[in-house]
Amino acid sequence: MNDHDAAFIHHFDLESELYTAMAEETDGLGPPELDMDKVRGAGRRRRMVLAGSGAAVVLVGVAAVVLAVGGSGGSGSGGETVAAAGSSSSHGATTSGPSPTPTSAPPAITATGPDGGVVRIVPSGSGSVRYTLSLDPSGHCDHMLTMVLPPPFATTPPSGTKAKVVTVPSSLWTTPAGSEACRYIVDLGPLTSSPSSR
Amino acid sequence: MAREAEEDLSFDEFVAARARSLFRTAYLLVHHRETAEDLVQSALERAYPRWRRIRGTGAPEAYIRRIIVNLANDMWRAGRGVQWQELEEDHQPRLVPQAAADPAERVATRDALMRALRSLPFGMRAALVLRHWEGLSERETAEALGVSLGTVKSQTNRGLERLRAAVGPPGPPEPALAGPPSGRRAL
Repeated sequence: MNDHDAAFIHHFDLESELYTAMAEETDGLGPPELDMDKVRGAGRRRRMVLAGSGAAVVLVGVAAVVLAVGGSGGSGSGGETVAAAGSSSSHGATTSGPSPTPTSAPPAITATGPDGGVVRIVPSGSGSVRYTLSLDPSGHCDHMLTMVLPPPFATTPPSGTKAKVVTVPSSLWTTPAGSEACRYIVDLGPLTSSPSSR
Repeated sequence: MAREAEEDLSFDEFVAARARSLFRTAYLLVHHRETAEDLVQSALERAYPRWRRIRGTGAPEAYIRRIIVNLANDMWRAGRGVQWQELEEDHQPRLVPQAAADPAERVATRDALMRALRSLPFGMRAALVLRHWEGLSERETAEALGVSLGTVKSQTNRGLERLRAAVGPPGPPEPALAGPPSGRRAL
């Protein structure tokens, strides 16, 4: 076996192990819990928005015609008709105002340490994300991560901390709680958009 | 009306057949069940009004997967204020012997791989998931991620290097990845 073959086998083994690891990781997930009524509802809202926009275009067109006719006739009643058509047009235009997609709830961070300590941190501003922090399911301290919060919540990595450090810019946080527990955060999970929807 | 009902049926059949696969991919991107469900839900909500056109492309799953990747990427960008910093050498994770014969060690190796995968930047992680879980080609992966072919190649290689570093001692030099991936499609 030459070096090239050895390199290939090494490469292949890693990919094979990665695939197996990903399969094992997701085998127990089962099917997702989906809200198909919400899926269809979003579709219907979109159709209504499009229909509303179309109606607005039609009404604006009608208003323009009435304006032209009324303007050439010069009658008072023509002016009233224009005003009525204009208000209908405005009403149609409101369909583009509220987004059909629901906005997310205020963000927050909750984390639990192996000692049972819980920390909940609410980012400032009008951000729309929530950080979900989870523990390494294996619970091995070898893979601990540390979250370092900025002043006044700052804490330093405790001696013996392994792996990596997570640094959180101060602009993200407003409420500290249990910064001690932050030292035991082992995994920074993904972001979810709407804590209240669950 | 009949056409709408037919499209609904087609959409439902697609969801019944492929939602689980999309869910598994979403999970590997974000490593969080509820978030992965949210991603699939949101992607389907976006796809449903355009279903006729999406189905007409002949690759509806690829289209919806791209929505999922984009949504996950948006989430990652929104939270990019959180950054990872490497500690000194003696603070690195314990090395797990690669390709260990002992089943317990193999489990440990796979655990280490998944932990390493979770710690990768989103682009790198997504490239590995799409290439080695979905079995997409480099070009398909580039299209799904909306990046260049070169970016996919470098992200994949660098991602594999980091996984390798997490599970074992440095191996021999990496050969050029000219051929297709391992070719397995997601379940």
